[in-house]
Amino acid sequence: MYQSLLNRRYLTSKIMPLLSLVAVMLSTATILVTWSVMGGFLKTLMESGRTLIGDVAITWPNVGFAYYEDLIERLEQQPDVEAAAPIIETFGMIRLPDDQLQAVSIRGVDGPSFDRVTGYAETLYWRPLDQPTPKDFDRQDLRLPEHTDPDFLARVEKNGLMLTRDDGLGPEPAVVPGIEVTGLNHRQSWGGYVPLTAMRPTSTGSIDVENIFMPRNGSLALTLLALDSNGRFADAITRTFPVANEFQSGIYDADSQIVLVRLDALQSMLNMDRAERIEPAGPFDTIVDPETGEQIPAPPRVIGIDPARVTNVLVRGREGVESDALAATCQSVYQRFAEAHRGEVPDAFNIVINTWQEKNRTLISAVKKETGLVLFIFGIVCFTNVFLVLSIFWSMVSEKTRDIGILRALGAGWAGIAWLWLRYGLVIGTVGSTLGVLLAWVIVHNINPIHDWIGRTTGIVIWDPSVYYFIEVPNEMSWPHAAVVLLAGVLTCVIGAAIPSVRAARMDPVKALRFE
Amino acid sequence: MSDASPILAARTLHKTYRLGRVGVPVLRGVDLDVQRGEWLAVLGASGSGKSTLLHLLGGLDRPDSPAQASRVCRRCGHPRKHSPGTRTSCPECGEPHHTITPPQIIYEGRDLSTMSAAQLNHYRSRDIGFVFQFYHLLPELNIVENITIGSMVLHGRFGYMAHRREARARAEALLDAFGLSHRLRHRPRELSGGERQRVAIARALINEPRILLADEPTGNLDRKTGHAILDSIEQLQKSQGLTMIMVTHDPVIAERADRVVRLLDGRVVDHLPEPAET
Ligand SMILES: Nc1ncnc2c1ncn2[C@@H]1O[C@H](COP(=O)(O)OP(=O)(O)OP(=O)(O)O)[C@@H](O)[C@H]1O
Ligand SMILES: [Mg+2]
Repeated sequence: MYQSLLNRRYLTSKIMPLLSLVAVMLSTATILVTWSVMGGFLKTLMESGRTLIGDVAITWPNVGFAYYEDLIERLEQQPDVEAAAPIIETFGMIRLPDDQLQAVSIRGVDGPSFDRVTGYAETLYWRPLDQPTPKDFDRQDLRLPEHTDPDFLARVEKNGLMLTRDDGLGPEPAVVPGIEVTGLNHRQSWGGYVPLTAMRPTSTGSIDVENIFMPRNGSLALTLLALDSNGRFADAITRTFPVANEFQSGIYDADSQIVLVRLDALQSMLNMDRAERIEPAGPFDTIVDPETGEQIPAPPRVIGIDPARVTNVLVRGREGVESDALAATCQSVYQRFAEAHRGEVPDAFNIVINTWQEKNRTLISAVKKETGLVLFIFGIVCFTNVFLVLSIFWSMVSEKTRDIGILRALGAGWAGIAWLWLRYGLVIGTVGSTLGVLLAWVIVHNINPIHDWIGRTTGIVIWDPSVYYFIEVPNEMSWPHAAVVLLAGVLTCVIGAAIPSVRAARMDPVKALRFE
Repeated sequence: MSDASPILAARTLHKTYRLGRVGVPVLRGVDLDVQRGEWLAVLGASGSGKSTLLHLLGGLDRPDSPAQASRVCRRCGHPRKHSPGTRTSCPECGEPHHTITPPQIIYEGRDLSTMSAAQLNHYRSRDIGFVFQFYHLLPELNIVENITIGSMVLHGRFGYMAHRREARARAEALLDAFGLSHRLRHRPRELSGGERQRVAIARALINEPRILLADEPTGNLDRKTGHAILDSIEQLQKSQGLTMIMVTHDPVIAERADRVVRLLDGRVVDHLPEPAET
C-alpha cells in the first residue's frame, strides 16, 4: 500500500523519475519507429519479390517441356491451386530507339493467365488515374486526365494486359518492358515517371529528336538465340515488336532487366511452337500434281507433331496454402503428368520445382539480415536502457536512503522495500513504454507528412523517390512488434531497478536513519 | 502475564560500533526494566548512546552477541586477542576482561532475538512507536499521509483498505490534539520544527502502540510548546496505559516522568538528582 502511495508521490515530485520516463519513452518510440519503417520496407520488398513469379514454378530450363496445357489443366483441378500459367524464360538483346543495345531477361507470357497467377495487371504502369499518387501534390503525373486522354490510357492498359498493339494494321504481338529497361522514363521526385524524348545524332551532325512515347509509337528490336528441342543452338533471330505498355513490379532488378513478350510470338521465334516433324522425300519420289496432271517431286512427308513447349509453369496457391505444401502438390501432379506422357516430357525426378522463397533466396536472406540488424540495434537500446534506469535508480535510492530507514523503523520489511523500488521501476517502465508506443504510433502513422514537412522546411529528403525505389514510407505499425517493444521496455526498467532495489532492501535501517 | 512483570526488559545489552580493528563500545551491559504504563526518562550526555539504546529496544538494531562484544575491550575498545586464557585484562587500559552473558530484550515475555524478521517488523509497527530525534518525516508526503503511512505499513495492501477510514480519523484526531488540524495537506517542509515534531509524534501513535520510544521529542521546541506537547502525550499515556521511554537532555522535562534513569559509561544507572547536573 505504502509502495503505491510513495511511487505516486516520487513520480510527481521529482525530476529524476520523469527524466527516466522520458528516456524510456524515447527509446521505445525510436526502436518501434525504426522497426516499423524498416519492417514495412522489407515487407514491400518481399511482396514485390513475389510479383511476376507466382508461388511455385515448375521449370525445365532452356529447352522447355511440352503438353504444358495438359499439365495446367491437371494442376488447376487441385483444390490447393488457384491458377497456373505457362511462361518462357530466356535471355536476349534489345535495341532501343536510340540504337543502344542492351542485354535483358525475356519472359514470354500469356497476359490473362499470367495475371491470374502473378497479379501482372496491377503492375502495368501506363493506365488512367483519377487520383494523383501520394507524393504528387502538384498533379504532375501524366496519367492524370488533365494531361493524357484517359481513353488512350485505358487502351494502353488493355494492350499491356493482352501484349498486343494495333497500329492500324490489326493487332500485333507486342512487348511490355520493365519501366526502367529503356532508360527513357525519368523518375521524378514525386515518385512517378516522365518519358524522355529519344535523341539520335544524325549523319549530318545534327540531333534528331524523335517524339516517341513507347506505348504509342515506340518499338524494340529483340534478338534471341533459338534452340531446337534437343537444346542445340539453331539460330539467332531478330524481330521488332511494338511496345504495348511498361510494368513496374517494385523490384528494381526486375524492372530494369525483364522484357515481357507475348508467349506465342516468343515460342515461334524460339522454335518452341507446335511444329510438324517432317522427313524429306526420297530423291526419286514423285507425286502427280492434281491440277496439271504432271509428275512433280514429292514434298517432305509429315511423320509426327512436335507440340509447343514452355520453360516454366507458374502456379498460384489458394489463399492460405503454404508454398511448401503447394510445391508438394505440384510434384505429385507432375508425377502423374510425366507418367501420362512418358518419354515425351522430362521425368518427375529431374523436373525443377521451386517455391517463390527458393527463387528469391538472396532477397530473403538480405531481408533476414536487415531484420537481424534491427534486432541487434534493439538489443543495444535495451541494454542501454537497463543501464540508464539502473544509474537513475541507484541515485534515487541513495537520495532516499533516509526514507528507507524511516520505513524500516515503521515496520516495513526488506521485501516491502525491495517491492517499493521494483514497483517504481515497473511503473516507470509501463508508463514510459506505453507513451513510447503511442508516440511511435503517431510518428509512424504520420511519417509521410512528417517526412514531407522535414523535406520542405530543411530541404533534407531522407527517402527521395527519385533515388529510392519507393514512393511512400511504410506507415504501418505491427502490433505484435509494439507488444514486444512494450514488454522489452517494461522488462529493461524492472531489470534496471532490480539491483538498486536489492541495495535498498539490504540497507541497515539504523545506518539509513543516520544517513546525512 | 501478571501486571507486575515489566512490559519491556533489557539484559546485558552491549553495542559496539567498529572503526577498523578498534571498536567504540557505546553500550556496556545495559540492564533495564520498564513497567507497564510507566513514563521513563533517560538522561545522558551527548554521545552516551541514548539513541543507540532506543534503536535496540525498538528492534531496529541488534545488540552485540557475547562473541561480538568480547572482540574488543569493553572499556577502551582496544582489540582483544582471541586465544583464550592468554590475558585476563586489557593491555591498553588494564580493564579486566569479563565473560559476557547473552543479551536479552524481552517484550511481554518474548525475547526479540528469537523473533523472525517478519515478527520483528510486526513488533516495530504494531507494538512500538518511534519518535526520532530529527523528526524524520517523508518529504514527499503531506502531513496526513505521513501519519497514516504507519497504518499502511502495518496493514499491507488489502488490510489498509479496511482500516483506511479509521486510520484517517485517528490521524486527524491526533493532529487536532496537537493543534495541527489546519495543516493536513501541507508538506513537512512547510512546517516549523516544532510542528514537524508533533507530526512525528502523531505518526508514532497512529497504530496505538504499547510503547512509545521518543528520542528527545521536545529537544527542538521552546519550553512552553514542549510542555504543551508533553501534556497531550501524558494524557494519552494516562488514558490508554501507554508506556513511554523518553530520551531527553532537559532535567526539567525529566522531572515530569515517573522515573528517571541515566546512561553513564554505557550502563543504565538510577538517576540521583545532583546539583552538578546540566
Ligand atoms: N555507525 C556508527 N559508527 C561509529 N560510531 C557510531 C555510529 N553510530 C553511532 N556512533 C557513536 O555511538 C555513540 C552513541 O551515539 P548515539 O547517537 O546513541 O548518542 P546519543 O546519546 O543519542 O547522543 P545525542 O544526545 O547527541 O543524540 C556516539 O559516540 C556516536 O559517535
Ligand atoms: Mg541521540
